[in-house]
Amino acid sequence: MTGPIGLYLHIPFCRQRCDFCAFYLELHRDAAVEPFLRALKTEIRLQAEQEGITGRAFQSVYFGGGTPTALRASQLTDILAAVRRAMRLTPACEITVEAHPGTVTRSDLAALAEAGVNRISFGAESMQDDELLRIGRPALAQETVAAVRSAREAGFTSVNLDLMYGLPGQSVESWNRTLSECLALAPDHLSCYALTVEAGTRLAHDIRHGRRQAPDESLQIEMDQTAQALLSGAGYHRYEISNYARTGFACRHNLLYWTNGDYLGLGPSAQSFVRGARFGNIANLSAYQAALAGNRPPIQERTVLTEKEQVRDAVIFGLRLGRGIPTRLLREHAINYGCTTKLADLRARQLIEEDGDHSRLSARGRLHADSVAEELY
Amino acid sequence: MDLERERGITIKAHAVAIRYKAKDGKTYALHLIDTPGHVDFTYEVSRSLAACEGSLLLVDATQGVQAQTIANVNLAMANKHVIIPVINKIDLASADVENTKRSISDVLMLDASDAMPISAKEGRGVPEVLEAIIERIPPPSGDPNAPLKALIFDSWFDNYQGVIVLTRIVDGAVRPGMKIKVMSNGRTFEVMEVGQFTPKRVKKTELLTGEVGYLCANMKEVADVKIGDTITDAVQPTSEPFPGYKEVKPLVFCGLYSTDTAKYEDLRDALVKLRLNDSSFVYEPETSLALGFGFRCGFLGLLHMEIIQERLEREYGLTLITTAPTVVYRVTTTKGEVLEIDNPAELPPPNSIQSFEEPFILATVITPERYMGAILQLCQERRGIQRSIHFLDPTRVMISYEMPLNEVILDFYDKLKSRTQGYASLDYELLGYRESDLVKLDILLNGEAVDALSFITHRDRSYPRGRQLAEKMKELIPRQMFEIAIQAAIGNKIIARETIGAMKKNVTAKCYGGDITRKRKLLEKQKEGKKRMKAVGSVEVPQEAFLAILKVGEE
Repeated sequence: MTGPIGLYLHIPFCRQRCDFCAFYLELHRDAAVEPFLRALKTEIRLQAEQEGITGRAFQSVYFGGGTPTALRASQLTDILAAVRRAMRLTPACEITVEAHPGTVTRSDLAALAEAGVNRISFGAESMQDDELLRIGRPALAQETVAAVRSAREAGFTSVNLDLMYGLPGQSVESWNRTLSECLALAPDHLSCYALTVEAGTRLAHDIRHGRRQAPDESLQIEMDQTAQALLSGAGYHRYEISNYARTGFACRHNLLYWTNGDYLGLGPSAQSFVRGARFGNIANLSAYQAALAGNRPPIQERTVLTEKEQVRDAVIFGLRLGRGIPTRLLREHAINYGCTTKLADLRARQLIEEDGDHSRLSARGRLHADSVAEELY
Repeated sequence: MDLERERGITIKAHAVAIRYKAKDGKTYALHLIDTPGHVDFTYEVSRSLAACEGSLLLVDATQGVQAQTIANVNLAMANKHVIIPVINKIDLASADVENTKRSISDVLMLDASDAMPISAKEGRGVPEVLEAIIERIPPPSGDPNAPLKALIFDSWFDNYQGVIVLTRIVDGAVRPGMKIKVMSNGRTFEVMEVGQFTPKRVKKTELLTGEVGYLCANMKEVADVKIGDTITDAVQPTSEPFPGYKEVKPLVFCGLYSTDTAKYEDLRDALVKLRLNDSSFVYEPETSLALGFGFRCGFLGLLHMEIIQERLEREYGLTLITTAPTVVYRVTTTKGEVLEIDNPAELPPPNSIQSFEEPFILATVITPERYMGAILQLCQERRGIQRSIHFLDPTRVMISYEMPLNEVILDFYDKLKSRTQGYASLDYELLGYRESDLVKLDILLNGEAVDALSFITHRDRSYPRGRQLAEKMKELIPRQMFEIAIQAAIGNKIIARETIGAMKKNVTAKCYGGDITRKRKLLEKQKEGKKRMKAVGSVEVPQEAFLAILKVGEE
């Protein structure tokens, strides 16, 4: 009766904050790491014994952040060892680490691979140095090239590159170049994110004061189309709005988010969805550590979803997938929430299309995924 | 009422009967009525005053005489009251008793030499006030042997006992079992219960000449027992009712719609119930192309309108869309018919209008002198005609303007308060109807006129109004997947246009664990917001946009 479950570990440290980033993080200090690791290990132990978790085999482990590789490789493998001691992983478990291409060394990568990490995700963002500079990201395109090569040498068979488009000063032409240069590295997976101006970031501040230009919607749409054309031509399948992969390389962990799968999130600010309950950890490192020092789960918010709400979420987030969701599920949701007319309207406006027994967002629907979600919520 | 406590205002009259042992050793029965002070309730106040022999004029020692103080003092004088000025809130640091006294004598022309300083909060000075009531206010002078003659000065609806009437017995007495008659409509009832508020409700065997109390007589609607009416003995009636009874007429109208069209019945039930309690507001069904089925409702004034709307939402759990308030216009058609128009949608076509009249008021504003310029400018902008400017003392001035009521109901009061940092007070009285050069301004969304957004305005003000309104609508209507054209038009003539560009994309780029939590919260919030939206054609229009006319010209 229990479906698949994945484990997310939030490493809340970065060397510095990029201008567009609104995630919870702390600037990395050596002294801050040990207390965090202690707390995280306590949390791993506590959660492993929780009802709904205990006895289940995790099909994926994902180290995100922050910057996981702000920690030393030994610290990361140490966490992974703690996970293995407390929890069961499936034999084919996908284990991903997000890495900053500029700060991860060849020996780090080898150590991670040695410990069983089998997927590496590099935050390349752009392959143009001037663009990286303009978003306050301390990296060089050359570092990404080197990092991918090292990862392959270390034995990683699954490599992802994160890219952003609509960056200040970026043109369709330079975006094309970034894509081509990435393709030359033959990654297995590419995430292409439209730059989003999040409230409270330096980018938002600068835009408000006229110091930087807000991303141009039309330009981003053009870049989105460019990426789709180029990447599908190169054999990558767009399996989610922002994600492309070669066959067999879709991220199993991330798929859980869109298929109503279970995921347990550990670390400050991490969110979980286990057996119909959504809960989240406090987004504050010291409060997180204090709770765990007292053997209390650092959970701040917990909502138990009704079955109808679970179907609704499965629809809202499942529609983001390239293959969509079973049409039967969509119909069930529309009846549950009395929005059959709205659904018919979304179809008539060609925002949702049917393919066999599945329904998905059309190309135009993908551009308006949030509006569609609003209509159906 | 919660609303009264929250806003610090009196909406309904309250009566209390107390027994007081005075310094002369005798025990007196005192009946005190607390009345509303706002201009919307002037008629109710006048009837409460008619039920009394004298008034305590309460003036806030920190605020001094307000515009509505003058109106209420005039009412008390018209009722030939002995007026005892009382200066309250002397416990506050900013209290200025001497200045308040001066303004009572200068502005109200009352002898303020024996005005009584009190702190009602601390009880300081209150015994002296009670003594002054006994010394200075005459006792009631009715005839206990005459037939029953009682004045209704308030009423409300109780779920178990029906209407409860607050009344002053002027002649005779009333006791349970008696058959009584309401003189304006001749309806008769049998009295079930009488009593007084002390302030606790206490049943009594009878109410005697001179007393104030309540009675219940199985009355089903407050409309049967309107304020100012006379109650008498059905068997042996009094010859003359009290003078001064009148039907109050609503001055301000607006459309009320449930955001959820399925809740139309709930809205109607709520209106029926509220009207049981308040016969001064009226409603009738209306249909809007844009908003569906709703009601056109009439109110005594703006405060009254706000109170009713708030009570509907709060006490009956409704979510309402309200259209901009309007006054009652008078139109004479070319055929010679006279129409009263309380809904712009019902205005006959321009070529069949012979003459167009609108109500004018005399507005009185009292303000610190330093804001005089700002107020004169505001009154001029609103088509005011200056009547007088009068210095009350070196720092305060009383300004009188004749003004069209339609300019006042929109947002005059808010503007007055904001331009004077809340110091100015406003009162007004109706002057009557005057002919005006008025036009109907329509708002079109993607070419479709939205009837609920139409309003009547003076021709000279129509162009800037139309332009500002279109601009404001552009701010208030969120971008949608298609372009939205907003036009302001008089007849077939477009006088302003704004365009809301289409939203080209709306998609969350990253959608993982934490993003999902955030997204769900956002969707939840948007869903709440949607409840306040109305689809006009394919355009989703938020509630605020229907009141955009009130927001025109705001920074």
